[in-house]
Amino acid sequence: MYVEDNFPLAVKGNVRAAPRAALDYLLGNAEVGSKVAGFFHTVPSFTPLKPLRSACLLFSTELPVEIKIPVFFCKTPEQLSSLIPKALKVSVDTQLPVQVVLAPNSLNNYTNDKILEEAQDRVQPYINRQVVDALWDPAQKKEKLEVSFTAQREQEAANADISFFVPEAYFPEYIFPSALKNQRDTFKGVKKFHTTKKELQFLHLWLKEMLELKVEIDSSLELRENPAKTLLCPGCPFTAVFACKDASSTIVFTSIKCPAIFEHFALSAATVMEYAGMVSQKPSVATAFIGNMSDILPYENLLGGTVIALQDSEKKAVYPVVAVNKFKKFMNCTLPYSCANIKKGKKVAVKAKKCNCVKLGTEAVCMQASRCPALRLTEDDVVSVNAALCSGCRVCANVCPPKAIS
Amino acid sequence: MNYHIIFCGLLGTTFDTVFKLILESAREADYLVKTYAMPVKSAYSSLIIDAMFQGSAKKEPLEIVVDFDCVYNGEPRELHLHPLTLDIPFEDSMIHYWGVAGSLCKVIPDLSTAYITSYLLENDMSKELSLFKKHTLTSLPFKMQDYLAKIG
Repeated sequence: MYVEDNFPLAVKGNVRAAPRAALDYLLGNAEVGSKVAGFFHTVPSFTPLKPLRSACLLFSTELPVEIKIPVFFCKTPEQLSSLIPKALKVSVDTQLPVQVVLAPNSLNNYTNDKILEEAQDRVQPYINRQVVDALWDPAQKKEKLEVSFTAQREQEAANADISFFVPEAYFPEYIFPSALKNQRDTFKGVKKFHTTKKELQFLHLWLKEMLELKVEIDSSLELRENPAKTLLCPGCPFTAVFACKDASSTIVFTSIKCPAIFEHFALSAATVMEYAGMVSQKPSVATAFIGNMSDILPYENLLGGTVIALQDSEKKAVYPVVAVNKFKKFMNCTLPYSCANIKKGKKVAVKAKKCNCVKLGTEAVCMQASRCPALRLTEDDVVSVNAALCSGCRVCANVCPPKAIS
Repeated sequence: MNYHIIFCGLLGTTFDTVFKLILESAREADYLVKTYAMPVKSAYSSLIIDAMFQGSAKKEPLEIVVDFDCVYNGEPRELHLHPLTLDIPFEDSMIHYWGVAGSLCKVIPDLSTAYITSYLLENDMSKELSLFKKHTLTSLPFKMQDYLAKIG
């Protein structure tokens, strides 16, 4: 099982590699008869060449950009327990890998589904290894699986709202590239579809290119905005990097896929190879790359600018190791942990008498800079630290103007 | 009455337990319960779940924000239950969640406190029980009381 870093589920994998290499590894194993599963943010593009001897499920959170293999779509957590056995059956029958796209609602929502409940100690929304194992064998399902793909009735399609991310809207449960006739017939009478901007490209591919329907697709449906403050993980290495003065004059690239860091910091997404390509052109501005050490290692000699590696494995560090709270200027270095293995240090405490940012009418600098969930503002306008969450990274202590955190 | 409740809190077992007990209480009180989860941005980010408790054919629901850990950043609501407005001190062990749950039972009188109380008794959670009971018995802030009186 492979789980890409920062995948929004508490599933632990046993393969460590970059997504592309991991996909090849999973497919190779399925070809020789091992059951495999991979959890990716976006499944890398590939063409299945050899028939698989065993089931292969590729989970993702983003809609596919091309449809070469059967794809299942899971919008609610209730769907998950019926959908995974179906996907497995299809993978075995067709000898192809099957993609399962998980909507945010299916990842974080609560359910009364008995299979999910019994399979884990921790209640929803987390899905762990036991859940996946429990769902793995279709024989465990008591009722007979009736996967009748020809009898799919998509009555809801008549309302012409079609969206994977809007819970009220219709979306098909699956798309099989080799059996599109039924879906084409279902949408015959519809002339205009309403969807969200996020899905426009996918629907264009599916409805216009694959189903060859002459329909209008507009993006008038709106996605609900998440009204919560964006919080980072306690000890997030990016807070230390962006607390440096150099960060304002440097274009920082990263291969880490975490929506929170992209929302909070001025970051650009790039893979190690893309960054290597960019710096080979010798850009006139200062650039930096932050990525996991295991991703950086193979391309170490090709990288220019500043490279900050996050130590995600026990392998010897590529650059000198610098503690997160000692990171003061941009240089090639290795920070001692990555998102997956944040280390805990001595916890910090706040001297209430010294803590005066909010009392002076400004925002709490420590909370603003670190976005740490361990910091809260009490009714006395003083910051307090939740010791249960504090990782002891000391980023808040470094940025605190009155030095109230120690 | 129908309720549209936005539950916000930090991901963790306390949120899970409190939220599930509230949902079960609503189901026991014959509400039709629907929930919808927002995407979580990081492993420690706040969890936002929209819950719809439907108890009548009335179209307009009463909007409530239940902010267990002061993480709500959206448009302000009249009924915004969070530890600071309810005078509940934050606890590292997250037991303040139970106080907020107690206040929610005050806002939605149909929610059975007995259901949650029996769970806390069964699991020998005396601190949580006393905080929960305290807030089911304490009056809501005047501003909220006025608002609830106004809408009937």
